[in-house]
Amino acid sequence: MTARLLPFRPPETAPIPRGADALAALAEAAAHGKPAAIRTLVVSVTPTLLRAARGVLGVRHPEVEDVAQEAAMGLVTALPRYRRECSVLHFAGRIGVLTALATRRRLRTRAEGRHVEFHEDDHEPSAADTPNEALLAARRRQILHDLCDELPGEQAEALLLHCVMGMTVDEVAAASSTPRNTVRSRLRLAKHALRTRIEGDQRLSELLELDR
Amino acid sequence: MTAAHCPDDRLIHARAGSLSQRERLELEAHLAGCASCRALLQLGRDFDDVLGAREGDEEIGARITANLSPKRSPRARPLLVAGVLLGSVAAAAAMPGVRQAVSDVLFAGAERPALDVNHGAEPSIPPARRASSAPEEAPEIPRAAAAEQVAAETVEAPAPTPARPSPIPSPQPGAAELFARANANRSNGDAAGARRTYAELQRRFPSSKEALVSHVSLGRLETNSDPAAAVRHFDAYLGRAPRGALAEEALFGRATAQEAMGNSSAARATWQQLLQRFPSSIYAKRARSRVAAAP
Repeated sequence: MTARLLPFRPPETAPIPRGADALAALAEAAAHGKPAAIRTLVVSVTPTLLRAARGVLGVRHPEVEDVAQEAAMGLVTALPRYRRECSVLHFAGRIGVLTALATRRRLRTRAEGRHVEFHEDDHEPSAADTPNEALLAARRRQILHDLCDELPGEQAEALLLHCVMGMTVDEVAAASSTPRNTVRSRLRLAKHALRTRIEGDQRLSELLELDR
Repeated sequence: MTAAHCPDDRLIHARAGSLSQRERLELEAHLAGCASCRALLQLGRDFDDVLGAREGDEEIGARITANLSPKRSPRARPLLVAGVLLGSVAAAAAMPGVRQAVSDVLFAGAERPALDVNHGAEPSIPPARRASSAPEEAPEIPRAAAAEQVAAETVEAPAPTPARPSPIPSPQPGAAELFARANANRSNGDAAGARRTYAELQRRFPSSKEALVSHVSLGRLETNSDPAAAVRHFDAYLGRAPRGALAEEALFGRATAQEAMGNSSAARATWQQLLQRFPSSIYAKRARSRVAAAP
């Protein structure tokens, strides 16, 4: 086995200046093993980890809390290698998404099928105006979930960080130590796959006017 | 603007409502001709609608902080667990500070028992990283491998060294193993199995941190079926860790169990104690209403 090479670091992912990220100092202290810092940091990033877990698995999926727990543990373990190339929240968000994605794929492969059978968003209250719109929104989310089960890992990761976690291309690039254009390319491919999926659903296709 | 130059970042800013007038008009012009971006923007908004903070999140955060010791997945297979243990030895040696800190977090507010390598109560480090040659849809990706993947991408991975033979595992499960088994039972709806395993944990490792936390888990389990037992478990936790990370949970559990017993005066006192100690608790609203409703 050959040693893994250091990844290419694009110029735009230069380290974030100290002070720009409110959690950076906390992360540094936590990386040095300060218990109070670890505790505060985990509390601070828990909403991000929960968003990642719910976004990838489904809002009411039974594994959400366990996945957030695993991601928190993973974050604490990975902190000594955090290089401030991205914000702490984005670092945590990526760990959350990857942890949830791994869980999702494992569940699917083992045919436990919880997330397949568990259309958790169907009755999820949302800001949608009508029940019909809420159902359509749930269907769109389900399409993204199904798509992420089939996309190559890097594309699924980029799509989820962008769409679910609301990260810009630069932020995704920085968090994953990947060149910006590579992220852009992965997103383009994922978006194309998403569009193809939605085109297969006549009702959604009409609503989004994909034939234009 | 072509599809190859989609303004991906503007979709994010549009969701956040932070586009200028000019940027918004430019984006609208692009969206008129780009179905993929329309779909992505709509989908992003769909997620934004349902992924906000929810009631109970603070409680989950408290549990996550309290349970920072990594739980082994109830579905983890024995071989995987063996791999995790092998990896843990090397990783733990490299990160004593983190290891110590995780342990410290668990004992915040509680009397700290000495770590005993024989009873298996030490936090382990997440599993070894996934092999880079694994196929895209490889099924066996340990959850915590995600963090390892992050780490692997930021540092040059050293050439693998031959693993030392693992020690012969003890035939008796340690505290961590029992705790993980009980949690798995609980997650799978096997309340009786969870009770048995928590009880064994408390009997064999009474001073372990897992036994401490298990009082709250067991208290929750017993609240409906045997509220008196639930009160005893919550009291046991509060007695050992009055300022522990789960003290708020334990007070809430005790008050609920006391109500289930019909002991309204005791419940009221517990609600008041909860309000006094945690005035901004997520349970504060309920506590106030209970206190106000009491005769």
